[in-house]
Amino acid sequence: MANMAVSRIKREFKEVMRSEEIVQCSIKIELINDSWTELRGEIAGPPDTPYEGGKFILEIKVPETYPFNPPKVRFITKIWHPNISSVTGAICLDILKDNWAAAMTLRTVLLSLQALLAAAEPDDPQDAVVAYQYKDKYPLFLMTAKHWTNVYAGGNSSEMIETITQNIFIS
Amino acid sequence: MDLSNIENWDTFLLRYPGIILSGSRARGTVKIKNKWYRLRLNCPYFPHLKDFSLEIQQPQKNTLAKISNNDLQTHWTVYDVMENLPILYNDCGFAFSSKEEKPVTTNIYQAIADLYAPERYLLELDDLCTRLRFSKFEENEQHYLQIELPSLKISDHSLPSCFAWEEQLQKYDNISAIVQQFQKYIQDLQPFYENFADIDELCYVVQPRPPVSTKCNWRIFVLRERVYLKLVIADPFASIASMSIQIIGPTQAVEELRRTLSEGLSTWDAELDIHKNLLRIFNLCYFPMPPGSGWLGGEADNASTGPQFCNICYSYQLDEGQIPIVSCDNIKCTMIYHAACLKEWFNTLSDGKDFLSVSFGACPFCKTVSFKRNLIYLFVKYPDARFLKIIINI
Repeated sequence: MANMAVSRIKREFKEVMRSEEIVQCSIKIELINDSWTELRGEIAGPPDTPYEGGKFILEIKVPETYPFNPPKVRFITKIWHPNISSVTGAICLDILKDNWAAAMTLRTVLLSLQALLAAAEPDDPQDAVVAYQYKDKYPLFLMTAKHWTNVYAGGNSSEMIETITQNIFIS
Repeated sequence: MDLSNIENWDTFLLRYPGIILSGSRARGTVKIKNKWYRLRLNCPYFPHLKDFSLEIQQPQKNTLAKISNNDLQTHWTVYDVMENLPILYNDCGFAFSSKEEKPVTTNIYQAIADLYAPERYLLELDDLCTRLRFSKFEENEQHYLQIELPSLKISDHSLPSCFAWEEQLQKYDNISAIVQQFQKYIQDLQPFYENFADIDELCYVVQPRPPVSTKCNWRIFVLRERVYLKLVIADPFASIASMSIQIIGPTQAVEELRRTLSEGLSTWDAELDIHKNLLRIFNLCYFPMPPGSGWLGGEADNASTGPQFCNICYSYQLDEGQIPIVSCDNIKCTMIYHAACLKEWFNTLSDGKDFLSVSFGACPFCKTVSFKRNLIYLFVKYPDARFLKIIINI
């Protein structure tokens, strides 16, 4: 792996480990192999969203050309979100594609993904089924997202029942 | 060993002036049939070959080739062995082209002994007697000169790398003349070194990193926050006439400074050195100094004085010695980058361009303002009718 990529990832790894978010347990990162090409990230579901209480694991692959090209990131934990494939975990986020900037870091990527969970973009979807549900049947979307969070990301089941009950009355 | 034996050795040493004798052992460099041989020989019954041994150093190896008595004719003497070296060990010779060969009229090692002058310089000879090094010259301790033996080829020196010194020094066919000329060059280059010494002492030089080599003919130092001056002297014998000044920084700041520099150069004071002239041109009392240096300007709390990392590679110094000094044109963006990292970033952008000396692209952080790293040349008329080339980054 290129020297620049390795030295940068090492620094960024330290940056995440020292960050406030790690203290608040909202983001985590760990090394998968000694060549610094594969990492595993973890983000907490943001509060006041159907993902609250869940822990979402991410696969991060760092290319040789980093930081001139973005890291390849996908969700390992299954998630119900318009901009994330419910099958593969592929992410539709501009900063991981055309809008990547060399000054961005792993920390900013993880925080951007956390922000994406809180503010979906259904008009630029990765998963058309989820996007349709988000736009046309929002209560059902909330219920499904909460259910997936509970099943796959270790979410809170009592909150889940409460949400379902509320949604039944709303609809 | 009897007296006649010693006389015999004298004859041998006259024939092979590169050999040094120590008792019955001899070592050194000899030339036979256009090839040089580095050898050690032991001949207790000179010139006869009883208990004789000979070792030859092999080219590009640290091993020695040994010649045993089995390879030798019974009636031979040392002289026969020497004359037949190419046959006995044909791949041990060090071939030199005719251009590199120097006529060795005297014992080269005697010439070295004559040059011993500890009060003027330090003289060192390596174990194989193939490399001669002069260093710690009187009043110029950082200078050194290294000469290959016996070819008298200049293998290393401390003079500025922008000039072909080797060619100049190679014209001389004896060590003494080479050393004298080298010392003369050092004296002639005093104005060149003094100009840089002032800048090293009285400015915050960010590149090259200290200790700066005597070979270096350029400096980059802080002019003000996010703005740097790069001074290059192309001809060390004509420091002022051959200098070029490049301003590195955000476009807006550079444009203003370019005008200031253009106006100031027309009134260049030949009596003052480069440092004082630049202070006068930019209307400064002093240039910024490194933080914590205790000098005026050393405590300035600005972004350019502390060592900052490049926001692309996250390192301070690249392998080539580059440090991050290029900043974004957007005054609200505080990011700085290595020029090399930035250029590579521009190459990955769909709207990035790289044409001749111009690179365009968006800042990797704020992405709002394009960088323009464009070098233009101004030729400013000099008071004494010479021309001064100024390279300015706009």
